[in-house]
Amino acid sequence: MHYLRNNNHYLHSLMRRMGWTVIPLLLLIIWQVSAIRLGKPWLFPTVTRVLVQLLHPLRDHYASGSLLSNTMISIFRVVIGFVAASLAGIILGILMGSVRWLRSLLEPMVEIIRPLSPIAWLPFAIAVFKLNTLSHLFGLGYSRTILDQVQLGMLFVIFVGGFFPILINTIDGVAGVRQNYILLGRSLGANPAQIFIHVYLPAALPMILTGLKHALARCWMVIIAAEMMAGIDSGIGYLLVYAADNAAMDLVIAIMVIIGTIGALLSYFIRRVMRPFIRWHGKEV
Amino acid sequence: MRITPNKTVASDRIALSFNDVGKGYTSDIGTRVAALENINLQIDYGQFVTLVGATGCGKTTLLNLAAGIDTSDSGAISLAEDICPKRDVAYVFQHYTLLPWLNVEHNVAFGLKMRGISRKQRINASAELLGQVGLKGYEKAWPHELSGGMRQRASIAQALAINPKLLLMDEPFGALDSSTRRDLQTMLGNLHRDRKMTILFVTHSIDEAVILGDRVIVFSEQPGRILEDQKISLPRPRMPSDAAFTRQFLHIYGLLAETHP
Repeated sequence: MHYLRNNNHYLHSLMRRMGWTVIPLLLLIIWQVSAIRLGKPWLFPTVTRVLVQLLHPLRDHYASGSLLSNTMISIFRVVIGFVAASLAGIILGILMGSVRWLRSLLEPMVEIIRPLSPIAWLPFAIAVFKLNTLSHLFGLGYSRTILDQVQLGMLFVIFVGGFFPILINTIDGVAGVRQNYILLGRSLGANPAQIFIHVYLPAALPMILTGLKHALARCWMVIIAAEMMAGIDSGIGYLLVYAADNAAMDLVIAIMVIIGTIGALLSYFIRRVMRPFIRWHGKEV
Repeated sequence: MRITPNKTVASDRIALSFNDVGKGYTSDIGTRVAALENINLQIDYGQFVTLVGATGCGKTTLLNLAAGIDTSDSGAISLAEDICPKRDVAYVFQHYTLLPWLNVEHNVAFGLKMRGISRKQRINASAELLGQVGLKGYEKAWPHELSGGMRQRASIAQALAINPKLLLMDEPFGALDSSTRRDLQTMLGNLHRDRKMTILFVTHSIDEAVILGDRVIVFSEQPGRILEDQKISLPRPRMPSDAAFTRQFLHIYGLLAETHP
């Protein structure tokens, strides 16, 4: 029995290592060979052609900017929308989580709006905000900076995408703080403001961070979809559609790789940032 | 039953008093439950008072009233003038006694932080207290890394950090095994002897009540009432194997068995 378990463990780790190396490599080889034999790079490019695109991130495509510049524009849009959604979501979430009547008052509206896909807001948002950008908002007109690429309509959609996961998780986190911790804080002399900062906030932090994690992943998905809409002329999602329209399938796949990688990096990054804050979570005694 | 304060101790030395205190709850099914009825109790400065009775007889409610967490329906609860309810009263619970997001050192220092004491002083005070409760070397440990007994040691240190004049304890050793429990009882007895604070200690163990208390208040169930207020003058450290101890124990046991067989 003991032997069998060890054997299983060995098998498991071997398979895991193979899953990360042999299988992807095998698929790449099959891809490469079949692409060469098919000979239609506009439909099914070789691995090497995709790699060449990825190795030249600064090359300008159809006067629409490079892979790098468009990626940076998308990331910039997401960061601004995400930060705005975080601030609004956390503040409103803490209020709704701790003030019972406020939650009763606002929760129905949240539940009505929340199920709507953020992307569905885009045509409306673009109609309302026209093509006004952040630099218009700051009264700069056309500023020739990255601010010109941050359309308010797009920010609004990212905001909607990030806001609800953060709001819902913050409400649950704050409402779920153990009464005991609040009593303990009070008995140790904390005033209401100190209870808020030193008890409510740290106790709700794991849930808030979970909300932020989901929200960031959602914002990244939303921005790609939003940039694929008509009327948008920058961003990695835009470049993806544009490359497909021009049958540049090597570029399309390169962009897919970039989008996937950035999604993974964002999720890795936020988990790394979160880790020290939530080490205690689930270990309450 | 009316309990008169012990006249051998000057009556201006009363730290905490309950006068005709009553408290009821509406239960989930809508019936009115009297948690406390007609409670009269005076606790002298420096006295170690234990409250013993079956679970659900309002002992915790009494502590919550003393802590100001809860308010009474009738009667008055008063603290001596030099005991500030916000600064001088500490509470030790049975569960969730430490803040899980702070390590042991910062948990103990929490009360001092709320008072704006500098970080350096807090950490020094915390280290000293941890030494006193036998947790030297565990400053950086997390609550979930400690055993049940160690957690209660840490939470006692946390309560002592604010230098309380009144310490309220709600079955703090209720979840511990008997030998750990005995160790902590000894430690708490010593801390009380050295610090001269007033302690109100709730337990459902008669044994524990007699080992620790200068006075044992025997509580009855539903409504919570004081059955007897018994002074324990056995010498310390108290030995449960002692004949006099056993007599006290059996007397209280008999009282409790009578009211809820």
